[in-house]
Amino acid sequence: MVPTVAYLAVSAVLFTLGVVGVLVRRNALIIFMSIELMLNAVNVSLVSFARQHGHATGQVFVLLILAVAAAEVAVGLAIILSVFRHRDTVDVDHVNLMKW
Amino acid sequence: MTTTWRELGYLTPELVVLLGAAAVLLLDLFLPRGRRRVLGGVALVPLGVALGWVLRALWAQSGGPSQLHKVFGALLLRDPYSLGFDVVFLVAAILGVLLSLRYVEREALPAGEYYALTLFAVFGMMMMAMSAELITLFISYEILSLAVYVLAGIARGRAVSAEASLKYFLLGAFASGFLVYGIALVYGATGTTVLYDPLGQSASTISGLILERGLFGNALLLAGLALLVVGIAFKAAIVPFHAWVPDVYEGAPLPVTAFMSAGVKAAAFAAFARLLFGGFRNLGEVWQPVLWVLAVLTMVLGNAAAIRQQNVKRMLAYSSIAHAGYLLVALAAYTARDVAIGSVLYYALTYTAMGVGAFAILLVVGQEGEANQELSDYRGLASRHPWAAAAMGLFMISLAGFPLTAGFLGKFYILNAALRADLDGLAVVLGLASVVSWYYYLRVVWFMYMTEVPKAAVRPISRATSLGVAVAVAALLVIALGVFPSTALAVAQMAGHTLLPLGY
Repeated sequence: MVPTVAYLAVSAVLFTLGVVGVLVRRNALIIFMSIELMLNAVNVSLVSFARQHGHATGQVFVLLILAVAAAEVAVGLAIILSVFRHRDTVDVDHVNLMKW
Repeated sequence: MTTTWRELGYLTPELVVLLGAAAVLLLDLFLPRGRRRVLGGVALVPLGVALGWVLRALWAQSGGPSQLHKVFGALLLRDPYSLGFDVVFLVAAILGVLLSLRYVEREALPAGEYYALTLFAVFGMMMMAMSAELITLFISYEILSLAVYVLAGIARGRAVSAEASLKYFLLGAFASGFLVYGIALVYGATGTTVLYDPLGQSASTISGLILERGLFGNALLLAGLALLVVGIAFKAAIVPFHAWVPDVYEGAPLPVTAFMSAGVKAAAFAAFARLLFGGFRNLGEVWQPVLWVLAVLTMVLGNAAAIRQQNVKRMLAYSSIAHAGYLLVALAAYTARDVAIGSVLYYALTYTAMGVGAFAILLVVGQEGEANQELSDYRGLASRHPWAAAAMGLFMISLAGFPLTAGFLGKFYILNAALRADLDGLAVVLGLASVVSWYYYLRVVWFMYMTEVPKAAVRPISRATSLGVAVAVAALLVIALGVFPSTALAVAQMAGHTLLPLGY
């Protein structure tokens, strides 16, 4: 049986990749994808914790996170689209009408 | 676990607000375009009903023993603490809607969505103040956040509004990633997501298990707590997680900024205090120094940045960061928690009155498309529009913390808590930061009263009744809370005691 620590390590690596993606990429869509990666990294650790503790709380939370992530996609893509209509770009370096 | 009607009854104000949001959305479908202005009035009804219910419930408990009910197992707590914060959210929302009535029409914003989202955001805030369990906390946090992301960008025709919304959304979603990771790690370390049991019936809560298993130095738990703090500090606009605040507050429509600066911040602090004083009370030695540092950073940087601003809206945005710092001082005073939590609640209420009031004056002076928000637009306001200038002056001296205003007493009670917790250094920084803030608040007063403009340059102001009512209500609250604080303070203290362990 694979120990819980292994799953947690994968999850931590995925989460870090997501954080790095948000910090270094400049395209709003890629940044958004990196955020989704962070959420899914959390899901991995929740499922493995749930198995370790032997109850379902963690797994239920995963379902709720998926629902929230879907809502975030709906709102986020609409916002990115509305910025694109004004600026013809989704590069966050060019979205700078105000001092960032 | 069976849900009874009785339990749902404890959620009356939340359900009223939620049904109100649904009603506004439905009405929006059936009303012809020209008649949609009534939706603002429709939105005020559930807010007013909920406020009445909450005030009645608080009134019934003041003096007597406080009542505490668990709802849905122990996911939500209907206690005086959540009722007290509900007052703050509902007052912020009612003032916010009053500010919006004219604005939504003038800027041709979609009224149905606007008011429905405002109500959804209030619902999220109220749930956040009630949640005593991490998953519930996260869901409420997201209900609130998603509604406010959209509200910030609802003026789609203006590029700055869309930009504010994008920045808020990207950084907000980033922060909620940290929040969920924090929850996951805390769950992993303890095996539960329930923060604490105020009635002491169950030991399998985070606060109970930390004691029982001696998890004081558990790396997983501490990492989880750190990530939770980051996630909430973002919403509360605490330095160094404040990068979004000035841009979002400047770019979002003015009434939304007013509502956000008061309501969202109060909700974040409501959850923050419940998290730290409830779930992690046994780790106080660990998180208190962190809050100490964050409080100093927030007060110093918020005030330092506010000094440089020429745009009044942006100045208020930075100053709201400084006010988050003052609230953090109260949270850091955890060894004096019998007064600290009450002072957080009292300050949140006073900040709502004076902050939203100041934004209301920005709307009175401002013109279409959010023009006229530079400091120079306030030149000679006193001679042209003495009432507007007097109200603005009142809000400014209250924000600066002068005696006989709500802001003074709010700061006084926070200082009191800090001194009782032996945080002398933090108290000194708070005092100095307030003195620095006098400069930029009084500069507005100076511009209004001490400078003149040529007659030709005089610009009209907005005279909408709804704005006048909002300014009057806010000004009355500032004076009432400053001169007759005893009732509000007693209720705030009673509410704060809910979070204390039994027999404290």
